[in-house]
Amino acid sequence: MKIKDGFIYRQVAGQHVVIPVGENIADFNGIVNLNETAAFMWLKLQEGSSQEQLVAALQNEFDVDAQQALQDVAAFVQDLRELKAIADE
Amino acid sequence: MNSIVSSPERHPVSATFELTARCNFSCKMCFVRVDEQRISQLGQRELTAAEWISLARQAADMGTLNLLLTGGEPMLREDFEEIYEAISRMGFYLSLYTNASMITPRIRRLLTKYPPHQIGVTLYGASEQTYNRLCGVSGAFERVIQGIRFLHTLPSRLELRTTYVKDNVADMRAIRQLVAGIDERLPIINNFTISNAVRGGVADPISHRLSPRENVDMVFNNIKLALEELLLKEMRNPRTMPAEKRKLMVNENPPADGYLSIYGCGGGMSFYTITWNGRLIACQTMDEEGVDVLKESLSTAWDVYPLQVVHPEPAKACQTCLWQTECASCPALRKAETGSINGITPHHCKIAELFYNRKLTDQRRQGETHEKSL
Repeated sequence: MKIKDGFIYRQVAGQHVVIPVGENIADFNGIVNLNETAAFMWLKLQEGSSQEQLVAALQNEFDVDAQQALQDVAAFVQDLRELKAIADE
Repeated sequence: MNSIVSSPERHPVSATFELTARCNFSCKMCFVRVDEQRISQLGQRELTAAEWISLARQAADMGTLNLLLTGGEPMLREDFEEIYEAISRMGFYLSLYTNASMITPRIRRLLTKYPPHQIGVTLYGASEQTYNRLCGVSGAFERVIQGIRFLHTLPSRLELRTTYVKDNVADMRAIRQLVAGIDERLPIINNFTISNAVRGGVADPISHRLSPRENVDMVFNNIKLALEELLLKEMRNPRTMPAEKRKLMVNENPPADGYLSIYGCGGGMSFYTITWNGRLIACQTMDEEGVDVLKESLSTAWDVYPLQVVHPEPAKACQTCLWQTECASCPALRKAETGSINGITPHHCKIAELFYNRKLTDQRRQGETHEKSL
């Protein structure tokens, strides 16, 4: 999985935001606010990552058990799919 | 040497890029338009595409999120497409202002591929005659309508923007019907704070603006949207900003406890404008020289901007004014009208007084009606 072209991650006044540009605006004309864990996962997905790798990375970085990590990653990926922000490689 | 002693947090979140102050229209009430002759007189030059693109990158690095591209008429620049395409990929929440009369097939393709998030189109009349009379152009109205129809097909948030003056106030109902005919959900933003042109602009808006009473009548009678915006508006004055521990103090100048912000708004605190000739100023309506952004860097210009702002004594009359809640004036408007950011503006004071009295009357009438129905 990888973040599609045309979703730009920015840091603004200490916050993590994502702006869709180009054709993506037709699907979502707005600004996405990411909290710390979402930003962490987003940046991993910019490079490309599988769901399993994301779960492992989340557990590594944050104080969270496997069950929680699995749920959080699944929910996040679902959100991204709804935004049409993910391309499956 | 001047230095900032203390300051509340400043974040350059929103920017306006005034790509040009030239325009293909010559609207009588324009506050910004310059022509080639005035540009020559001012001894200034427009920025190049490369400079705008570099400034956009610097703005992004600095944490600017919202970016408005405007003019004058931005599409008048032959390099508009080059500038626009580069900037549209940088991840700004992008807005574009245009009069919609110069949307070539190439620009259509560009905007289809890279739509802005928001578009503001100025609509000055409902006929060729009005556009001719007010904006000095022929055959433009049809192009404007075609332009608006095209822009409406994009996923961008579209709004129409009007300014009512003597030459077009009679078109108000027709304009509303015209817009509703395209899409009844399209918002119409009405600007009525008109003053002198700023920064060398060549038009003479004051000669063409409505009188205070005409202005107030216009708003109350026909523009429901503007009325809703007015009722929600708070007076722009340092005293009404929320209290913060750190005040802005430059070189420990008076007042001893500093200012809550530079101008009592987000100007120079959370938003800024880059002028057509490369100066960072608080907002596009502010008649000030600002800071050169090309000499060093944009972030340096942003950092030192507060240093060159001069705060004269606040106007005593404003402190005790009865109509404060209806006052639409701000430092930029007062500067344009009087030459001082704290100057008294009889025209705009009168508008505030009339709004205040009118609303009081309406409230009393509603009260009486309510009592009668009980």
